[in-house]
Amino acid sequence: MTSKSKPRRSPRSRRRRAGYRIGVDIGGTFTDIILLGPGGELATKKILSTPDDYSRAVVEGMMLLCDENGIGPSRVEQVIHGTTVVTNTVIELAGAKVGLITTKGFRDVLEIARGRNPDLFNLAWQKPPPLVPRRLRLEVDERINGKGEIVRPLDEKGTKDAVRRLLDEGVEAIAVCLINSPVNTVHEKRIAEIIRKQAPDIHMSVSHQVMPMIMEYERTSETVLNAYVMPLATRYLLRLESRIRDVGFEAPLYIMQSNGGMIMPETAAQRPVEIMECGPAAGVVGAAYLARRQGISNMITYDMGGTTAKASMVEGGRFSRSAEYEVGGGINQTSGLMKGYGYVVRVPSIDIAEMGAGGGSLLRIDVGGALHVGPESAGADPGPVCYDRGGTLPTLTDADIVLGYINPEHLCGGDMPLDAEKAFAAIRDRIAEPLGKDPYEAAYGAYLLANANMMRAIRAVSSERGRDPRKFGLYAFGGAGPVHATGVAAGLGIRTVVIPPEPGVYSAFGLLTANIERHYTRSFPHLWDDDVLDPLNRLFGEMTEEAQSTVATWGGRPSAKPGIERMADMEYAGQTTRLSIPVPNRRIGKKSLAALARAFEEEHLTTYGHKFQNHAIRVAALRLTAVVLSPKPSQTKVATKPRPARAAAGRMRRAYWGQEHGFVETPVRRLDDLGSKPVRGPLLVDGYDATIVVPPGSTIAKGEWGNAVITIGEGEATHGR
Amino acid sequence: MAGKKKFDIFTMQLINNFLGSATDEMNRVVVRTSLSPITRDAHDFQCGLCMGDGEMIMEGDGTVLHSLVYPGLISEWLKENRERTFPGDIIITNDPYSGASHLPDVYLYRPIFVGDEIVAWSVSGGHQRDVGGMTPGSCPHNSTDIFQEGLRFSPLKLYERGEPNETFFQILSCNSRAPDIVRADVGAHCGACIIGEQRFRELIDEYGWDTLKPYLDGLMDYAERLTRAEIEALPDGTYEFVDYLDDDGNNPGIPVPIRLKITVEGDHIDYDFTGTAPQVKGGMNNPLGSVRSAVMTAMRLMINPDIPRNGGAWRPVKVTVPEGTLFNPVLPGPVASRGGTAQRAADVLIGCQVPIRPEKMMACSSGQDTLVNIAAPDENGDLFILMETVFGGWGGRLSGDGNEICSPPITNNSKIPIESNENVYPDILYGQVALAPDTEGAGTYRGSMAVVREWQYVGKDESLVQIRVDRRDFGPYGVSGGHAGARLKATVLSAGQADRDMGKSTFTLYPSDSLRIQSAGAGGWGDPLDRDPALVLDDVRNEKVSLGRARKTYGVVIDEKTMEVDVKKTRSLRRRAKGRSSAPRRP
Repeated sequence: MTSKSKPRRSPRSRRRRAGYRIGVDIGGTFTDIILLGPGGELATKKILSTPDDYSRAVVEGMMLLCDENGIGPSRVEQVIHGTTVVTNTVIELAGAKVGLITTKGFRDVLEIARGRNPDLFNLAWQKPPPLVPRRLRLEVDERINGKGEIVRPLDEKGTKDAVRRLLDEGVEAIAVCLINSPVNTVHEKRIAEIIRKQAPDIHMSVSHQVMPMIMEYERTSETVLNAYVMPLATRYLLRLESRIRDVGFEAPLYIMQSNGGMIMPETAAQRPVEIMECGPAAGVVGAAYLARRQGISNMITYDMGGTTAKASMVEGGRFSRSAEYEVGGGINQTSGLMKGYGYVVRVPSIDIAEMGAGGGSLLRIDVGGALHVGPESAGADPGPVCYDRGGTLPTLTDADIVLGYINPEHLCGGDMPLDAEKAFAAIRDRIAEPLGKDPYEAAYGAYLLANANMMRAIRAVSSERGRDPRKFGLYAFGGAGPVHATGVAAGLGIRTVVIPPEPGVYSAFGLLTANIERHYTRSFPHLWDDDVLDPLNRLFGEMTEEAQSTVATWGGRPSAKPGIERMADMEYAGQTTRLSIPVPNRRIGKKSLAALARAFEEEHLTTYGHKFQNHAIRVAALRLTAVVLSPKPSQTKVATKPRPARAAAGRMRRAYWGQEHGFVETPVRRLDDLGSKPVRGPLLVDGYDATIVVPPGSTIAKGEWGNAVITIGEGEATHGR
Repeated sequence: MAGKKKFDIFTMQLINNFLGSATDEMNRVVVRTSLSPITRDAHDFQCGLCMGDGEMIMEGDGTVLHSLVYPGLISEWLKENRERTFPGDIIITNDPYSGASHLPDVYLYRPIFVGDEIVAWSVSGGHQRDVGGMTPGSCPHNSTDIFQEGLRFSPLKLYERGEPNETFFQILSCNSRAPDIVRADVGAHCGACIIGEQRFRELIDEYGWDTLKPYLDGLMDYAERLTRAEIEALPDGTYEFVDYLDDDGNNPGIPVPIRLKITVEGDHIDYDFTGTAPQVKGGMNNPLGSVRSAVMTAMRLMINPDIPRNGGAWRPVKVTVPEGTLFNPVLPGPVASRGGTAQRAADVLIGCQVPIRPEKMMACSSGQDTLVNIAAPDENGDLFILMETVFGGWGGRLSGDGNEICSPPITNNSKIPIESNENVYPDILYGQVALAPDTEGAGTYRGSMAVVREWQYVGKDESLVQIRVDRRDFGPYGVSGGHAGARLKATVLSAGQADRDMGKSTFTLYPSDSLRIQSAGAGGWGDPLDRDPALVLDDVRNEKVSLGRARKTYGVVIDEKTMEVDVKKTRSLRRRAKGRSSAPRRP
């Protein structure tokens, strides 16, 4: 879209008094809102999302939370928003009518895709339909080769005709992706001008701006996807902003990106493809922040909700980035080879492995009498049997109830009573009896298998980079995360599990710890030799300039100079998998060149277990991130909100801990009851929307920042692989 | 069940899950460290874990055509070499006459010991860029014996007790046109074997071998039990099918028949290839290991996907292939182009299985019948070799149209990005990557369109090109009145000359000449006259099917001006057409 000249907010002095900050995270079912006060006090709200107009629940929730805490909207100084609205558009195939302009001979690149069948032995598998049908994919005569030389000039008349044809077809957005455009952008730029001239207001997505990297299918896919969601994202973001203004919020609104940084709504509207996976990213950012504050620099985040479990790796306080993921194809697979389920996106994003194992995952017995957990899910409606909303198929949550891990009277602080008897009957009739086991053993089997699925996801993110999960801590959140975290950790040989306050709304909290960030990538294929120095310094210089001039206008703080981080994506000549190597933020000379080559080789050794002798090194792309640091919570205090008196302190619950321990009358505590002195399990800690399960042999203590810290016992049963 | 503790099905599943994550990791090591696109992007390799005797306990997510090679290789190795196998060894071979497939497919296997006992093997291997022989890429179609096809090495130790066999590495390097790449890729497979062993050891450490072993046996028994139950449910009977290769690679115009008889009886299933052509005099012979893999892949398409991917599932299956035939050649039979034959084997297998489990089958896919090798000196005078496979899409199915351009199940490769290739091989300029209209096998559920890929040589020297193509004479079959897909076309285009149609051949491309390959279209399922006219209209609007073809083949009349279906005319046209016999016979 054009930079529709919306009046830029005048920089206001926000220093007059320490203000409040709000994080809002829209998930499939719930909208979570979190309010953070100047002294670190936290208040949260979980309300049902409003799919007809998601911004309604956002504004309602923000108002409710402010009212409950006696805060006027004007005292809020920052609102940060993460949303699945854009992703849902793709999953539901409800995006815009898009036209694609591409190089003559290549209009079917999008439909051909990679060609791999991800579902190996299933001939009924359906390849995802192309987001632009063939008749709206038009070719123009032009060609640029791999070196960036113009082989055939752009046919301007043909371009105009193509644009006219698409406009006549009534497309809402036009995507442009030419072969080798990242190497030479001239033709794409010219086509963009022609489109702009013929249709000044149409949404436009141009490949060298969206993904300036070679690989024609991936770039076309992402450029098209960006166009596909752009009209809707723009409408949504503009409406949201005006709604929150209408009710009196003056604070700037920021939108979370998949890369873990936040961005202005206007920018997000132009590159909605960059905010698709922002919800999970926010949780990782929050976890990395809190862990860093406590001196834990290496950890695996583990976010388990209703339908999936997600894992990501934080090393030395940095997230791992992924080059690519797929949107809208169901659950991501972790083997790395099984691609083609969804639509490929290559924006820099936090690398998150996802498995179809959440509280709502269905339990099912296969033909051979083996039990499976997920990936099918009961979703939010009807949900698990224990929700008593018509669900009859047992889920993992039902198993956790049978085991006594979840307090049936205490979900959402008692706002949502659960029917434990129905859960038990479903597990007994549909799982235990066919297996010839007793219901507790069957439920425990489900618990172990779910843990094993998640271990596979965690191994995927760690082993992908040659990292040993045993050297990491596990940071667990999401509604079901604290129930399964200890089992997962034990199975992976992880000794420390940290659970943050309010684990069920943790992604919303994570929003409050994000910085303003803008990521820039430029294709830069070059041998890593002395000749690279000049062009490298020049390109980094250009990127820095662009970043500084863009970022400087953000956030109502024009004085803030962005911090700059630079990376080079390097490879051995002949490879196409790259490693991102940090590049110092100064002019690079011959000495640094050699040092960077060594850094690359070391990283290659760590990641892949070997390095080559005297093999040429190439650089494929340069990356630059501009960061404006945002205020961070310096302390958090939970429970500013009155809790229902039904909290279960001092009570006991009968829980089943596997064959070795059997049933144990297990003490139930509240987080507030814990001190810094470790308490031995078995123990259950009931919170507002999640229970922490501490198995026999492990200990739990309260850490800083309201975190619970669990130490897995040495030699403790690993709860299976 | 042996062992102290009772056999627990949950524990068995947990172990299976762990094995799966170990092979995931092995696969990732290969993809990440390989230097050749055929491995890295097209995934033409396979990792796995095998029991001490070679039976596979977990198959990776790579190309399944390699999977069944390992059990045979390992059991053969053990016959002569058990006493001289040590911890830290890695065995390597590419010898079709020792159980491998064709010479570029190099397989590595590493023993895992508990005490003196070999309890398992960690295996990894796949297609290498070049192992010498008469043509770059080592996949000639016109070889007349194996000795022309490249360096052949029967199973030998690449590593012994952790020490590399430098002599062998030197021989390998000397005999490859791409020594650095081959050396790196062999290294990638070593890395995978080592990771596989490490992970397997973790499992041993956790459970103890005495406890673990019964579970691994149990896993295979379990897969066997499930498979037998599935086969039991199939209709008993004998089913026959035949399809043809255009030629043997050396004798154009003489078709090579592949005959299959499947017998389902109770809980076992026999695949008998008796009647298939005798061993041929060109490179299209297909060694037994990869025939077995093709059979297993096809059989698995009929059964429940939950069944663990291990050798237990292979036990109820018998494969009969007489010696000295296309699928079981003897020395010195040439085998370099067996990839095309394996593809046809898959087509025959699926065709033969259609009446057994129609809802899980499809009409013939376009297959992966093309291998292209282009070799030329680069700007520094070093030889570059571009190697690509070309595959089309899936045949029509009872569940709907065939997937438009999608790897056939037997190989499951990926397309190589042309921008990556143009970056690495600047002397190649792609002319198009496109769907070809009016090439689909018509049907109630139509097959995929054909795909066109075009390479132009823009270097200054000349390039040596070798193509292995098939389906130029026999289009992919249709099912239940569905039509066959269009036949494959390979064309050389050079300015000022008439286009030249090419079969399997080796030739020179001069500067500015192009090679264009249009794959076959995939077969259709059911009478095209029963196809939903709205779907036909959609294909016409998307310029996949012409107006004329919509009318003639599908009996759908579309008004050229409004681009709407003329319902009345369509009804009467279809009624008249139905009176005549509908589906043309396959040649």
